[in-house]
Amino acid sequence: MTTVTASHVREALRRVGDRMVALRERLNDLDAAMGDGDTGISVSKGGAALAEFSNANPLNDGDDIGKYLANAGMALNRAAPSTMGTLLATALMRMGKEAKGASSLDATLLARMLAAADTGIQERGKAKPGDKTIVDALHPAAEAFAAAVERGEDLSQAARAMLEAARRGCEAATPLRSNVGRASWVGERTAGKPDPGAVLCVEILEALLKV
Amino acid sequence: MKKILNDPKNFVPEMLDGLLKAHADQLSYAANDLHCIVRADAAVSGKVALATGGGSGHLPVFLGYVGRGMLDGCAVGDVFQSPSADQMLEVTRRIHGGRGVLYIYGNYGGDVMNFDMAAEMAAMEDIEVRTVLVKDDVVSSRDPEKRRGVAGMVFAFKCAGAKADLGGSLDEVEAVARKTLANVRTMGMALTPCIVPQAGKPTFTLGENEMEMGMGIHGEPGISREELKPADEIAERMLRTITEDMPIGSGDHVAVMVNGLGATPPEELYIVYRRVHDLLAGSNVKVHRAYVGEYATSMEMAGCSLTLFKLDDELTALLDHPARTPFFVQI
Repeated sequence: MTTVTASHVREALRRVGDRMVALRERLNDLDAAMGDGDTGISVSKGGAALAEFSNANPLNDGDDIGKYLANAGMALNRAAPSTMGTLLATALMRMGKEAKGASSLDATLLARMLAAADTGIQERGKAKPGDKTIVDALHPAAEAFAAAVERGEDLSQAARAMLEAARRGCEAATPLRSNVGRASWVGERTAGKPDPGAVLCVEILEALLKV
Repeated sequence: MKKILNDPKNFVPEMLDGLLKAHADQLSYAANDLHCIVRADAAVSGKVALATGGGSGHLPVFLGYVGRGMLDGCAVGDVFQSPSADQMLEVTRRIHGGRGVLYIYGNYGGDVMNFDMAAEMAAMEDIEVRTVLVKDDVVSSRDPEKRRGVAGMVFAFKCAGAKADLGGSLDEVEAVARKTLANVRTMGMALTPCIVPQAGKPTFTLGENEMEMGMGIHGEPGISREELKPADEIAERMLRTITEDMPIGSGDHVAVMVNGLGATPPEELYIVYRRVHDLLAGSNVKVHRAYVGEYATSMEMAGCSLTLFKLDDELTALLDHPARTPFFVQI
């Protein structure tokens, strides 16, 4: 596989949406340990909106994938304007902006899109790696993907490197203390608990790669 | 839970539907979405437009200040939840009169992220947007940049709204909003918690003889829980906390707001005002205007907040400018 086509994108969006819906209870439980316990509710609302968007909007060969992703981000934000929902919507919209006009996605463009999602979430959430957020999984994943592409690896090899990096990043964040957002008020009690955002990032990448 | 409700899920849409029907002469909505409240005569051509937004559960904040001389639009979320970025964008599009849009809203994570996103999307449509965050709650953090926005935002709506009504440019209206907020401080206290309709139970508990000083308006904890004191002591404590943060002295002019949180009768608010007024008079501080009533609430929470607004000639003239909204009339 060397490029991602329109139909791949549409199916991937639905898989990610379905996975987000399925994560409702798990994320609520993880969030209850450090926040107000509603991350799973908003993520499942956002996931349902993505799946519905994918079902309702055809994406044919030749269509603008960037615009499609940006619109999917808007649909997610409308359904879930919570912190996590807004961060995910930002990621989709920045990826869409990066891919504007493209009707298929090659490895180089995908690397730029992942980097745009990473930057977008860091800017929007005012978080950096090490703050114990979704960024701790997403940032190493984006870097690993770009490095693999740079080395000349093919799309599926780069994708595996991306997922491994996300998993390691998520594990590395678990012993940390939350530094931003509502969880930071809980402070040291978050140490040793998995971050719901980082877990969500790993799950989304797994759904993308059908893992 | 004991509330006048149908299905709790319909609390916000039914509230908005009733409100729009009651004030159809002044309010309308954009994009076929009741959550996108705008002035009935929006967009006002040639005027800088002002927008705010945030969760429901705080009336008159936020949408209650949409009207002549104050705001042009407001995006409304579910109870204590941010509205979405595209709802804010819809409001922005509808109120833009060709001279830019100023967002004024409280410093809460979800609202900040969604408004930032809306501003980015508006910029792509060539609408110039600026943002001023309200951070008037003195006790919510030692760091002024991390403070929450509470009742003091009404003074920013009032003065920036007046500047826009008088034909000010986006730069000038933004400057007035910033200057106003630099001179506004608020502190609150609660006697009882609030109940979010979909949650159905109180957000915290307080004993019969307890009060919570410095609580947030979403049920966030305050700085201390203590034995309920007489009104004069509560008033003195709030005034002292504010003036330690923003010195006010002999010869200064101020506006004072004693705000009820939803379940405290006006009689009690006037008892608090009486003490604040006398203490200020004793320090030779002149109260130019007093606002006593409900301006920013938290469902049926009992308690009050005190806001002081330190005035100069420019701010005094803007505060005195007429305004008319469904919840705020000043002739």
